[in-house]
Amino acid sequence: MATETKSKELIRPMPIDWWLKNPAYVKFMLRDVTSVFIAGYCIFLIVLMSRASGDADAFQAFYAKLTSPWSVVLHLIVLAFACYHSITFFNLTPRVIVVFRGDEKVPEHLIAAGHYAAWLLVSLVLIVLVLILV
Amino acid sequence: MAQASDGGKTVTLEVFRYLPDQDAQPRFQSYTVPFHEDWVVLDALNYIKDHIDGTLSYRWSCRMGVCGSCGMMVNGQPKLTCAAFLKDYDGPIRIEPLANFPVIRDLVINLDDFMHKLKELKTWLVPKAPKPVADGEYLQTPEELAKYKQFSMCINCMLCYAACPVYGLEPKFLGPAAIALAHRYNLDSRDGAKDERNDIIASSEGIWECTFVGECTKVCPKHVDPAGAIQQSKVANTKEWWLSWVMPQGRK
Repeated sequence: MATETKSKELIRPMPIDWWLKNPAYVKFMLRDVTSVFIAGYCIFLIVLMSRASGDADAFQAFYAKLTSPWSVVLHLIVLAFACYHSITFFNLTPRVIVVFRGDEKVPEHLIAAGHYAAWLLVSLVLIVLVLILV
Repeated sequence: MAQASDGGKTVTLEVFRYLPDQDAQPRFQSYTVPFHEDWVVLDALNYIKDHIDGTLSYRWSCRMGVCGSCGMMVNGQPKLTCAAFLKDYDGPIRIEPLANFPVIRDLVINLDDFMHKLKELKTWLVPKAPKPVADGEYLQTPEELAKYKQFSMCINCMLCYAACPVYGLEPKFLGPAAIALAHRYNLDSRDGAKDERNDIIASSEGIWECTFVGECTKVCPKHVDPAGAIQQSKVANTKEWWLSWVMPQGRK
């Protein structure tokens, strides 16, 4: 470099709405926000369990509110976000878990498929448990 | 090189201009260049420089996608201008310097930060068992090569840095290419500097800044998958951390 003087370099800061500029960024932010819904639902499940082990009449009233149309709509929204969370998560696993057989990688779809299979298995076990116990 | 365009068609380029000693703010300058089926954006820029406006400054070299010099924003997307064909764009094409880097002049960015990070991470082979040249090559099996080969394809073009919102928001983040290259050497069976690199990679500005947006991998022209390298690095470093609790001594 011939000279020590530095001409005025231009800094271009990121705008506050950077994540709206690119569809991929929007999808990423949606994926991140699913964690809020998942965390919120975990809290709800804890409240549900504590109410279920409390006063029976109070729980019946609480449960009745849960069957209202608003509650069903809310549950469907949370379900949609939870599914988006799981599907994006599983589809990314082949990039994180790389298994080599010799000098060949195990195909990506098999890694993802393994996760979907485990999800299906756990869901079936839970459904069976609920049907038996409830 | 033929001057006449294909079918008399022309294409307009809206090019970011910034002359630090003259301009307080950047501006866009429109140039009309002849359209050719086989021209890339770089050809258009070279036409502008040769025939219209010699004051335009930009970097380029190999014009075939191996040197990594000609990275710019083309219609808001980080691209190698030698790989962006004019025929793939409708209407005026907007050319800007690579995002998330300071602009020295026109389309030329300051990449000192990236260079510094490469040095910091020792992105070169530090032989585990150095030997003199006379003793011959360091041997490696195809299986050992396969482990890191994909990550060795990086041409340091920095499109991934332009695509990474984390780097844009936090310039201290080591960034996709630097981490992918560090991971490439960590995976190399001949290398012995993994612990030194991991001290930096596992720091607060390293792998844990990454939130797996994944845009870096999408824009990478050499299919390096830096996002994958970073996540694999997270797994490797977490494993090392757990093992350091279980077996604090004798971890070599």
